Amino acid sequence: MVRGQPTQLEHQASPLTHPPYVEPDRKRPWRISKPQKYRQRQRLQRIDRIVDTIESALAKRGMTSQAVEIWKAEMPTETEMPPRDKYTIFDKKHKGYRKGIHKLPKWTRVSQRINPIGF
Amino acid sequence: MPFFKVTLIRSGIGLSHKKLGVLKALGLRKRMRTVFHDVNPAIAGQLMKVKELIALSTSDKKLTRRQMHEKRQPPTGFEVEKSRLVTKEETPTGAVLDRTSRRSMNLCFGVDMI
Repeated sequence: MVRGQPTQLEHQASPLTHPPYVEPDRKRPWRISKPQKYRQRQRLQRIDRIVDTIESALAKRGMTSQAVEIWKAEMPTETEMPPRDKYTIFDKKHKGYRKGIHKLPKWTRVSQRINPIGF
Repeated sequence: MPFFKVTLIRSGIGLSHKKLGVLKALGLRKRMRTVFHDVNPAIAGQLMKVKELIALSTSDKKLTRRQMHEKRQPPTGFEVEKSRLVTKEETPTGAVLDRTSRRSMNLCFGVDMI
């Protein structure tokens, strides 16, 4: 083995040896900041606009999409969502069963709008 | 015929392999890459999968990367009203001369100087 060079084992990035890096929860502030909340709203609105664009473009050609229809039926738009759902997320391990949405891994690139039944 | 104009504005790094596969299938390999796709339910489903990562609009024309690049270029600042040797019909490569196209201008001058 040459020093400084990666071994053969290191080349094989498996989920066990190389788990995806997730920032430890303790390093994130408990509270989500105002600008973060503002940007979160912008992202939610942008996704709403994208879904509307897809739907209207299909409608002009007399088509529909199952994915769009399911999304429209199940997901509230940004204006319909209560602040509780915009900025917090269900977590069974947390006190009160809620934690800040910024604790969700990749939270700026995933959609999280609805809660489990009963919560 | 309308097209979806899709630009990847957020990277897919660290997301699931399914989403990365969708990005690959749409031809979005790098951030800020723009692609055009037909409007149909299959593409709509793919766009819904990666809607958090893209900017989307509809377009009547399907532009190539070259055309998008030329659209971004600043105006040359002059117009060729009349060329002695090269006219619209006589372009050697068969390319249509466009006064906003720098490439065509260079082609035009290149022939002119011979």
